[in-house]
Amino acid sequence: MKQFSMKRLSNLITTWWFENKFSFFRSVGFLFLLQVLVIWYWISMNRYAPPHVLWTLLTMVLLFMQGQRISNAFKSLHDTETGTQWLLLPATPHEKFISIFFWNSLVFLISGIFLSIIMEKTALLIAEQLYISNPIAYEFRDVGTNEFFFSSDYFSTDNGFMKMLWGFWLACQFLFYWAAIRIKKGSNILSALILMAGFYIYGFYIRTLHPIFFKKNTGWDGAWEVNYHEYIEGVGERNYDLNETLTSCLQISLIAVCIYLLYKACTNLIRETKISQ
Amino acid sequence: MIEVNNIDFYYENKLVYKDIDLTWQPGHIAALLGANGSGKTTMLRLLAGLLPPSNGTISIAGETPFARSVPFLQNIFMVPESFELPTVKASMLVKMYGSFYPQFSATQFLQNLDAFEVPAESNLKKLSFGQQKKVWLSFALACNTNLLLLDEPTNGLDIASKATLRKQLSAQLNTNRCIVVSTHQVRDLEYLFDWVTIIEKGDIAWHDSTENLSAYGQTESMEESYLRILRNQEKLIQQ
Repeated sequence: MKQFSMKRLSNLITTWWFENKFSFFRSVGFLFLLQVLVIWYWISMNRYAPPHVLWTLLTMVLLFMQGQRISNAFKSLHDTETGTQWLLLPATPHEKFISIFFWNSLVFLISGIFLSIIMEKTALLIAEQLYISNPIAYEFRDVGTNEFFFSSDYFSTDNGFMKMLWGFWLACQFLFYWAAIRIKKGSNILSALILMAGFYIYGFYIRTLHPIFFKKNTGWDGAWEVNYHEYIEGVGERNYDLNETLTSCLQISLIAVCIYLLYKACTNLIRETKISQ
Repeated sequence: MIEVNNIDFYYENKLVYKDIDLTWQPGHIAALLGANGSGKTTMLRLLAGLLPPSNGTISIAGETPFARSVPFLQNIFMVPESFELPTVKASMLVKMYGSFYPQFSATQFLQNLDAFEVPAESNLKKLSFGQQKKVWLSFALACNTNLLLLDEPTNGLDIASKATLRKQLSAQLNTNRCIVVSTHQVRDLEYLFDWVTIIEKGDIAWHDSTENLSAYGQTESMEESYLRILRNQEKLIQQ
């Protein structure tokens, strides 16, 4: 009997879709609704909209929902009350893991990003039309269009930071869950440590080895303020100003939430692996 | 086929079984009886590989259930007392789960549904619990696994459906297949069982054929024989 079978994996992926398509559409629909509200808010606020807060809010919601989806998916794998059917489905834990990863990490994340890109284009089109109709009343800040979405702009060749960040987030999930399946002893603590180490290594990598250069200034001005400056060779400097108190808090919360959800998902996956092995 | 050797099982530090030995052969429909909390469902979960024994070994056709290898899982199906079905039409179960079981028969599944009078195109979420159970039992039988574990299969079924279940179970038993049924509703299926296992106070009070049970109890009624065994065991403990 094969340890890994593509046929079983494709069966699992199909099964997952039939079992979860409604909750999947609900999650994507919620993101869509949120984005419509953000665009409506941005348009109505005109130049005064704080783009960083909106960007962070959207990103946080997407990541939170994604983390929650993954965590719950792995939870049902080891739950002998509600997950009996999944547990007894003839497939290996690796195949089950990949099918969950495929839908909740890959497809859900990509759906969220594509949705954002569509909404971004719509927002820009509306902004452009409003500006043409009345240039004085509708002078939208350039920064708003560039930074408040995790948008197509982040996947362009001159914007390495966001591209790497999303790529890293995806790689993190895959590697940590994969490691969680293989680690036997002390796996909960170890996976949390790997997770933390991953973030630090990534920080070290982007600061020292990669041509993208980050300068971070942190200071106290009634609240903590953080400024990032990205320098790309041959392209120039781009600022990621996180100097609004609320934004800074949201960014920190975002990282904390991501770590917590990844850790939770790992723990649930480990329980399943322990049972199976 | 199923060998349970010297197993102990503790649930949250409380002893459920102590040093139990059991053997079930294929070609039989076995009843698993016992009081509430005696560990009938736990035994089914141990056999399915959902739980590991605290001590001892379980072997099913040479496989250890708790390893949950793919060949083992392809040859076992468990219908728990309560379960959750996806929001799809009954016929979709063929596409969703059928392909995982090498001996699954879609025709048999549809015939079973027909016997239970459940339309194949009905939405599972809109069905009552009893109707859902009929769908899941139809699917379980159509998987043609060598081991079929049923936990309280008649709960939620109407009188006519209980008769259909009896008919389907006896029709779909073969020499390779073993069906273990945990139940409190002995009368619903008693003429179907040819083997009886009674678990009482962490021990096996009876593990023999229905025929011998009737001879021991001096009655055709399985319920009365069961009560007699319990009374005798009680006397033995007092002595």
